[in-house]
Amino acid sequence: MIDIKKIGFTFMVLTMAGACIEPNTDDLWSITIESIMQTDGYARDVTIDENTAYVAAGQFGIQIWDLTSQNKTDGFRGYVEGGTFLEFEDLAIIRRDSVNHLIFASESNKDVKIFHYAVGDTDISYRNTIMSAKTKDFISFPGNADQFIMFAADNDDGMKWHTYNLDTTDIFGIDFITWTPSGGNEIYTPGKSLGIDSDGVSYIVMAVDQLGVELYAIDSLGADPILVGRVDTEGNAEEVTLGALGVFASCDDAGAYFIPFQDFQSESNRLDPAPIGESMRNFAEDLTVDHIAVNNGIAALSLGAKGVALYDVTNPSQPIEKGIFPVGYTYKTQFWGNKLVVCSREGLQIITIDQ
Amino acid sequence: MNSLKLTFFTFLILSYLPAKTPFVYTIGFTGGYDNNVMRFSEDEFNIAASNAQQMGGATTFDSFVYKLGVSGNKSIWDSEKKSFTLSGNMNWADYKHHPEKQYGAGGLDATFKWGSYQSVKYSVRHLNSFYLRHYVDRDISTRQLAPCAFTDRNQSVTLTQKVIRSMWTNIGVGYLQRYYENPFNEFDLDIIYIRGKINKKIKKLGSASFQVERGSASSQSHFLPDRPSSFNRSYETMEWYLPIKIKKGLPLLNELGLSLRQENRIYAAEDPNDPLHAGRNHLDSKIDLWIKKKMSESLNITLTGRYRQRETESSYNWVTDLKSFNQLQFWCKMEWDLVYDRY
Repeated sequence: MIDIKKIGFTFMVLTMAGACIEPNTDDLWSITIESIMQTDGYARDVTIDENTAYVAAGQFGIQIWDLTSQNKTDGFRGYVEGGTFLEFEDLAIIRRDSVNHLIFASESNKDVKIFHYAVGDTDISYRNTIMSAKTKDFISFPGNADQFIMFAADNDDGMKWHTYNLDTTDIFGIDFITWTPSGGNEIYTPGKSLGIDSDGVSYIVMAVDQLGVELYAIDSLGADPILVGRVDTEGNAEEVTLGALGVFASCDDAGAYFIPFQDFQSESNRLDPAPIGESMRNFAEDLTVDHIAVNNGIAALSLGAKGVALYDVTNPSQPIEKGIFPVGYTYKTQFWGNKLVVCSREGLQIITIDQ
Repeated sequence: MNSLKLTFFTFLILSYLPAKTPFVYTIGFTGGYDNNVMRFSEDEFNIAASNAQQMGGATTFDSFVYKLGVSGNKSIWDSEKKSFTLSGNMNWADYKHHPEKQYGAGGLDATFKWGSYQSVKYSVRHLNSFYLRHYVDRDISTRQLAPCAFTDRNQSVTLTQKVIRSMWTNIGVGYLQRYYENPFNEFDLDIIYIRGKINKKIKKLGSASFQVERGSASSQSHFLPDRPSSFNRSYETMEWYLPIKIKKGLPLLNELGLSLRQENRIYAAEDPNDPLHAGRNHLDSKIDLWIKKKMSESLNITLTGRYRQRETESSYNWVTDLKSFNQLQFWCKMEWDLVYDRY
């Protein structure tokens, strides 16, 4: 009888264990917030040079953070111009030219200011202002020695591009150091330019608000851009990011688009059928997308108050949703190696994506 | 579905075990009506009326439903007062006007009996892919709807013991795994419950029982990566159930039954970012009324009606309105009792 009880009990335990079911697992990605670097002010924009992040911190101006140690190395709430200290009003865009030791910064709807800053400097030195008011976005590439080429999305003038050279003048024993344009032009567009990106080699792409996205081709850096074509999108095209096969466009309430390069050409010049990964696609249609960062088959969409959405864009014509992550109000993201650096109201966040 | 097949084949194999006992089985067909298949609240009726996507392909809120089922039992071992019996059932349900809603269910019981009203029973029940409705998949979208369905695996052990003459009790513990299909696996719950029931045979009338069940549902969702759906959905539940069956002295009928069931569920969530669950509780009441008629030695017909009402309480009025609903169901079940005796 004891044996029967033992056998019965063992049988019941084994049956119960064997009868359990396993939960389903989703195919979404997860994230790990490695650290939050609490910038003074909102982290509105970031540009990363190796392990250093240059942050446009709104009313707190420029902040420089070491991403490895997650320490702030410098912070500049203003600059000296003509002997007067001027505070930044609301710094929104920042870029870095490490070759010429420059920081380019722009406040909302204003022109671009050039500052000299070499790693280890204790202050930024104002040089001069370039481009014009209503500059919404810009990108620059170092050229020859003491030279850079900048492309800017000017909201009322279209695309501006110039080559700038270092100009040092000694007047009455005082050095005047400025960057002066030596070549370039202004290309009118009927749309309102809002965002710009370029690989500095072959393409420049510009978001032109209600009119969609424009693609320009260049033979080489410094050559005249030639308009390839314009593709209309739903909503307002605000920011653009160049990918290997096409352009990712952030279209605010209309979500995001992937537009392959060949879609900017006339229909007669397109391949039919389109190669894999080269079909236009609207995605994240129900999200408000402000910016897209792309790296290694991952697209990070900045969603403002909703945080960040991740998409698998291994095939950019078929983006796969991988999750929305409420990391706080997000302005912009940028990849730093395999990690994602998020500009948010909480500060600069370093995120690891677990696929 | 694999689980259903497993249940079926286990049942089939066991029925051929060399015990010299017959295999008793029942085939059932049920036709019924459900006036609120997706358990919409009043507010949701208005929203769904103008949103075809939310209806998941259905064009009506109500639906005709049919179910096919087979159940059976076989005594595997019998010795004087002691016996070991296996019984099982399989059912298939299809909601004719709701294309997403069709599901299979099955179960197996193993009962060891050592006397009158003295037994221990292990039960396993499987409910496969039970569709609730379309919900917004908030992990990837703010509007995109996806079908939400879950699968239940419910195991329990019940001890039956005689108390006094014509009164016996059942005491049991159970473990219910309620796992949702993608993309809603953040709703997954592990529910542990205990159940006590007291039964009384009433002379020249029928029987009455009273059951109390206490359960605790554990959600792991809030430990998942931080996503818009990562909220704690754990809850505590207490349910009582009172069935009364009248079997004697009925003209024309063989059985008249009435049952009352009421569940009080209190959610554990207190996260202010989760107004849908924070501080929420509900009272889910079901009233069943049925009549049963034995048409012949082997054919039974049962007519059942059920009224269900869920009243939700929340500090948010919109949650109260959203999660409260009424439901009315009727069904007619025909059962054929059959015996297979090859010995």
